[in-house]
Amino acid sequence: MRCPRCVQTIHRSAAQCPHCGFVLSDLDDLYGSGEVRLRRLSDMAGALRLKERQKLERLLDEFQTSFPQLFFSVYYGALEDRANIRQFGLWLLNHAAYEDLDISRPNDGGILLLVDLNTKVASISFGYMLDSFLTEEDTFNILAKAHPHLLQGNHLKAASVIVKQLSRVLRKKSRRAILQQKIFGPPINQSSGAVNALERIRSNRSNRSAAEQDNFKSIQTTRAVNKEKEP
Amino acid sequence: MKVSFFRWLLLLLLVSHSARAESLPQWSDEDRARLLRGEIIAGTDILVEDKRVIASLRLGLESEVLRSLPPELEPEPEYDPKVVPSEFLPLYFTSSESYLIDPQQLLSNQEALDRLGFLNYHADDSELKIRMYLFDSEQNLPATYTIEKLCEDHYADAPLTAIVFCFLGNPERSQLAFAGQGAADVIALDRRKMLESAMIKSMEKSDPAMQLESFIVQLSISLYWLEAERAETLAALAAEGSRALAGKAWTSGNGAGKAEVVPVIDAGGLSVLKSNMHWIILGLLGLLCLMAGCVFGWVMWSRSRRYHFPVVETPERLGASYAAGVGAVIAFHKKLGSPSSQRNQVPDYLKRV
Repeated sequence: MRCPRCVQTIHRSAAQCPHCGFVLSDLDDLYGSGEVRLRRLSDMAGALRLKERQKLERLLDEFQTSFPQLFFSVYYGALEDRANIRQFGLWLLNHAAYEDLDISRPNDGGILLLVDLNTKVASISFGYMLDSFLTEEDTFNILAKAHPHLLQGNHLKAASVIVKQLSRVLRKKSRRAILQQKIFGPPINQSSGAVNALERIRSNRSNRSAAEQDNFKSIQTTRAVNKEKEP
Repeated sequence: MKVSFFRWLLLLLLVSHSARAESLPQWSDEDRARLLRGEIIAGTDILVEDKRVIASLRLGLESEVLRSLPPELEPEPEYDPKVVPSEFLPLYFTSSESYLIDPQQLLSNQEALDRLGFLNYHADDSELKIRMYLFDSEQNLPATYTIEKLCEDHYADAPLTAIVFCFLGNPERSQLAFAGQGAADVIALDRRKMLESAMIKSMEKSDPAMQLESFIVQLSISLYWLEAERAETLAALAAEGSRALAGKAWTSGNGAGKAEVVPVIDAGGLSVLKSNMHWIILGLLGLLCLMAGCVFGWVMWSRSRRYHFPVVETPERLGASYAAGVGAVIAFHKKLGSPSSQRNQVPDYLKRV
């Protein structure tokens, strides 16, 4: 595991980064601490056409059908130069409330593809459920496959390549995990884990205040206005 | 000296006397003649003392001698090498299961077995059988017994068969005819060519048995090509027939279900393949459909398959409630930069530096 700010290796259960002292609440000051209402496909930067968006949504549906515990979301944004894509991805996945997702799919099982069209950078962030199954190497290989399409500006193709490659990796990991589970038995607190996760997201969602949501929206609007002002 | 001389003279006289006294009895001419005729048995007088027994023996002997006299044989008819003996003619002109007909046994047993073995081998391998009739080199058949008559009488309803009259040691006199179904289709020119090539091949040998072997081998080769040619012709005819039927069905609008397949009776594997081509195509199409179905089924199954992950309770990291998994970051602003150069993630401030 790496710290999203200093990119140093940290412990899996580190409360804060031992190198730079990073915690998620640091980002709340920057991006807001409220819940962010999003859809799985958020094209804030206008990277896709309508038909492309529909195609991509179908692809995301297929992904969800294959992986009932997981979901895949894509965020096309135009972030500021000083914004750190790793930190923003981490913050967004923790604060997002997806409108078009069933409550049985908590953010723990979420995978977020964040594409910044301003700095031309793409990143992948994922929830706790995939902590044991996805590595940085896997995500890099997946993004590298989509690199040529990103270079050409073919974002639909790039996203579909990423979804397909990720599905392939996850299928393999799932089979291996199930096999290991059969051999070595179920992990400890498995039954309570899902319930706890569901309870946690429900409680967190209900606890989000409307003021926080408005705060995030205002931040986004300000950024959009600033972007338009730029030559 | 005188004494010894007399001694030797006395000894010589004694020896000559004893030799004269012990000399064997001599047969008189009359007794010798009787002995040769078997009227007397040598030693009977010495071995049998009883006169009556001797008399009875003599009597029996005389009667046996009389009985054992050979009867007067009828003079054999003179062998005419130019005529087939009449007793063999019916054996030639009857239907036979064997491919080698040699009632006169002109070949030795081993030679006959060898030739018959080859003819059987040919018959197993080919639909066009060979029936070989063997005659002596100079033998002539009566005018009523001809190869054509044999074909008409015994092979009219049989499958196409090559009938050969072979004159042992004289291959130039060989005759070849085709009998059975489709015999009329074999043109005379082909037949003559086949016969000539077999004759020329057999004349290369000097031994009659070897000549016969060469003849059969060459004839078998020629028949193979004839068979292949016929198979091609029949296949072409069958294809034309199928096309005509299909055309009729198409124009009449009755559908292809009523089309009949023209049967092809030949031995060529190619013709069998061609005649069953529609079945082969149907089979291949079926196989293709089956494979496509399998692939489609597999795709559907894999799409409908659900993949689950065991839920493991993970302690919160960096104060994040749901996610703290930071994956790779890749930049795509440089068109010439390879993505592998970004494999090692470094902090942003280092990049700016």
